Order: sequence, then C-alpha cells, then structure tokens
Amino acid sequence: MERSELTKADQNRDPATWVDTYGDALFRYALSRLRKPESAEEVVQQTFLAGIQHRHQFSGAGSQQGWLMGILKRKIIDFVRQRDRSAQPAARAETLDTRDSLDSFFDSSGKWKQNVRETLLEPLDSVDRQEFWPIFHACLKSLPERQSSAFMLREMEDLDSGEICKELEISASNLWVLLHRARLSLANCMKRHWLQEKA
Amino acid sequence: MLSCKEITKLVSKSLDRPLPPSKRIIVWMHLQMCRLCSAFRRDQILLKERIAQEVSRESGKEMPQEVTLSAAAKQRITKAMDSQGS
Repeated sequence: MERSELTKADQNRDPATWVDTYGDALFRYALSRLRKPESAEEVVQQTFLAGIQHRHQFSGAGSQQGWLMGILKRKIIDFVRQRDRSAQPAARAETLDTRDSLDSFFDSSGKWKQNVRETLLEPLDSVDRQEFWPIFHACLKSLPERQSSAFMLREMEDLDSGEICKELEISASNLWVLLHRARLSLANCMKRHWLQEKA
Repeated sequence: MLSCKEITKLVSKSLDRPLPPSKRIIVWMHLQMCRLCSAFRRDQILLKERIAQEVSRESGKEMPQEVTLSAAAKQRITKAMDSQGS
C-alpha cells in the first residue's frame, strides 16, 4: 500500500529532508524494539549518518525508507550487542553461570516446583491482545540483560544462533541456556502480571 | 526417565531447530503424561507466534502517530548530519 503511494520524488530524497520525512517512522520502529526514547533517538541518528555515508549504495530499487529501515535494523542489533557488552562484568558472569540457574522453577529432582505449577497451567493466550505487548515488554525488561539480548536477537530480530553467538561472544551451549531461561521467566512473568491485573 | 527440567530444555531447543528423532520420541512420550511440561510447550509456541506476527507487521506501525521524535532530537540529529554530511 505504502509503496504505491510513493512518487518518484520520494524514492531519492535529499538527506537534508530525511529527518522530517522518515524520522518519526524510524523512531517508532526503534522505540518498539529498544523501549527507551533516548536509545531510539541514538540509533535513528546513527542510521541517518550511515545513510549519508553509504548514500551511493542505494540502488533506487524499493523505497528509500525501506533502505533506511534496513540500516536501522542493523543499528538496533549493534546497539543491543554494545549494551550487552557494557553490562557489568559481574552480571555477565552471573547469567552465564549455568549450573543452578533453573532452581527457581525446578526442585532438586528436576520436578516443577509447587509454587510455579498454578501459574504454569494458566494459559498464556488468556492474556488478551491489548495487554499482551505492554506486559511482554515489561517482562522482557525485567530479565537479566544477557537473557533479554539473546531472546530479542533470536525472536525479534530473527538472527540464527551462529550470528547471535558471534554478536554476544558466547558459546552455543551458553546461548541455549540463556534462551531457555529467558523463555521460562518470560512466560511466568507475563502470566503473573496478568493474574494480578485480573484479581 | 528424563525429569521435567531436562524435558523442558529439549522442548526449548526444539523451538529453534528440530530434535533428532530419538529425542523427539522421548519428549513426545513425556508430554503425553505431563500437563505441566505440555503447558510450557504450549506457552512457548504461542509466545513465538505472537512475536513473529508482530514483527512481520513492521513494529512501530501499531504505535500512535503522536509518538514522534522530539523537536530537540530532530535538531540534534540534523546538526550531526550537517557536520558529517558536508
């Protein structure tokens, strides 16, 4: 729909007009991923700067906005990776400690703990659509940085595991642990939020 | 017999790539008997699907049009572009 609305002039605008033409759309996209306005502004700026630098690489196939959006996606991944790297070394070590990281869900014999069972059986799809995203983002934010980075790159940016390991400088087995832990915590957190709101 | 803790790890892996057949059978048999692990699997599939739907809709489009770059940010970004561009 949007593409057909574009006139020829829209295809290759002068960078001086980018901020006014594309700024808000890119900002909304970035905000939907990074949640913090300051972070979103930063990646939008980086996107435009990279766009100027690589302007000659824009072939004119597809829209200029689509091209900039492609750069933005890459910048978001870089941002997540850098945020992850700058996390406290202690926090990094802690979340990479794989041995007992599932203790809040399973007892020593590997059975589901009594206190998580009730929440677990509450179906996640009872969380209604309107509420789903605010709760999802609140819960994603509450995860340790490494878990949320891994989860975001996997499920939202759709990177494959090899790429994520490279971005986060972790081994494949560490990635599985991070993702698994993130999944357990996210579902549990979302349902607890939901049950609370319903009560 | 694998514990629920071990089974959920396999379920989690199966979300990203298919398990080898031998493991798949073990997981399937466990899920037949265990509604807790089945609930975990059901939740994770739903979560994955909802996220994928959302992402394919080009996130940000669902945000109200009032969500915009602030004037201050626009100015700052324009300035940064000017100083690099020329």
